[in-house]
Amino acid sequence: MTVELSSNGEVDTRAIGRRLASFLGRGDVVLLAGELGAGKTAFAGGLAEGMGIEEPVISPSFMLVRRYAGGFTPLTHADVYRLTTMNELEDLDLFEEARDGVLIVEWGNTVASAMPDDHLRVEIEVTGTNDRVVRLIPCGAWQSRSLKEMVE
Amino acid sequence: MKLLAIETATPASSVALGIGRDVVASAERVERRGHAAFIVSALDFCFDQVGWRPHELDAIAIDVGPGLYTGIRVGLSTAQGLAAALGVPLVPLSSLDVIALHAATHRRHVWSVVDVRRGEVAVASYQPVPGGVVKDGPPQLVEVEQFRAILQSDPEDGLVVGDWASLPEGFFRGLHRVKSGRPQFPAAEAMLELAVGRVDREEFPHADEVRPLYLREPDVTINWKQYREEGPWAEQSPA
Ligand SMILES: Nc1ncnc2c1ncn2[C@@H]1O[C@H](COP(=O)(O)OP(=O)(O)OP(=O)(O)O)[C@@H](O)[C@H]1O
Ligand SMILES: [Mg+2]
Repeated sequence: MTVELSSNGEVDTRAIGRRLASFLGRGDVVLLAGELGAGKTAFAGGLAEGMGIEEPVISPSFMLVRRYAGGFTPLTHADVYRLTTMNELEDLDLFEEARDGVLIVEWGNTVASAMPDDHLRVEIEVTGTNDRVVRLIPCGAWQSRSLKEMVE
Repeated sequence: MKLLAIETATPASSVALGIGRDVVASAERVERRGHAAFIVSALDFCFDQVGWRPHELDAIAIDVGPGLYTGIRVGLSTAQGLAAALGVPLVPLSSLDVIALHAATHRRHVWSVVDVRRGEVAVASYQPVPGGVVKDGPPQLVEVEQFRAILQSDPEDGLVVGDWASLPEGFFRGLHRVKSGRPQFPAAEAMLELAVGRVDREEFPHADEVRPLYLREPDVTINWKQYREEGPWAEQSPA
């Protein structure tokens, strides 16, 4: 079941991310899809907050991967925008890094073939300057998990 | 001959210094992350222990895989940098060979295995010979189930060494002729033994030509065009 939520500003997008935190646990993978500036990093920041991470989440664009260990579960935040090949992705060793926690990948849709089938896809569609539609799309085993409480 | 061996291809990293095959200092730990920090401190520790300076080294041995991508990269770049700076040979070794070398064979057919994740393992098989093992052929990347089938159809009694603990539960059920045993991971100390022979026989490529042994498929390109073309921000670089 896809959950569709609307966001009218960065604050809303962060709040959706924050709420998603309680649905996630060790080993979960979230793939973020959305054009440049859609709000993927903002969403990841909200998620981190929800996981009890106090450190501010910044775009991992240059670092490619950042790990936040200060929360209830470690969060590994990756951005694959600068990668050109799948081997480079392998080198990031994302699953190794994230084995003990949650993995969230910006532009994760572009490398979905190398990601686990069981993941939550989060699409952020830009519908206006400050408007976004955020879709939570369960894939694989995620389909049997309920996201009902995400809808207020 | 003063040798340095660096092993970071698996979760068990280790570093060893040897005079020939005799270990004079070593450091090891088991942890999937932080190979880079480990190598630096382990090298310092080992050199301190024996009071050597790096320029005294005659050769460096490096485990090029198969195994963990980041680990291999960290180890190889360190080893390559050192070999270039010191002008000494760099001897690439395979993690599977290093593991198999010290398998307590009991005349069993040895299967050396390294976990490369995604449901696949890297394997190579070896015949026991007096004083060691001889590889049957090049290493392969196989799905776990396929590996099980291979073991099942092997007419010889088998001994699986390496990271068999990472195989799914129940993997060995029904494989009556197959045993599992040690070592679980490649060790830098065992690398010294393999490296000595290679150096003596001058069997090593130029240090710059040493590459990781990943065994994975040729590179797949990410189709960015498909994703970047649409949208008002298409021409912009990411914030
Ligand atoms: N509803 C909204 N949700 C999220 N961000 C919004 C929204 N409205 C406006 N914005 C603005 O859009 C930008 C989103 O930036 P962010 O870095 O999160 O995007 P991104 O998808 O990670 O981009 P990139 O592809 O460059 O990584 C911010 O400047 C934010 O203030
Ligand atoms: Mg971003």
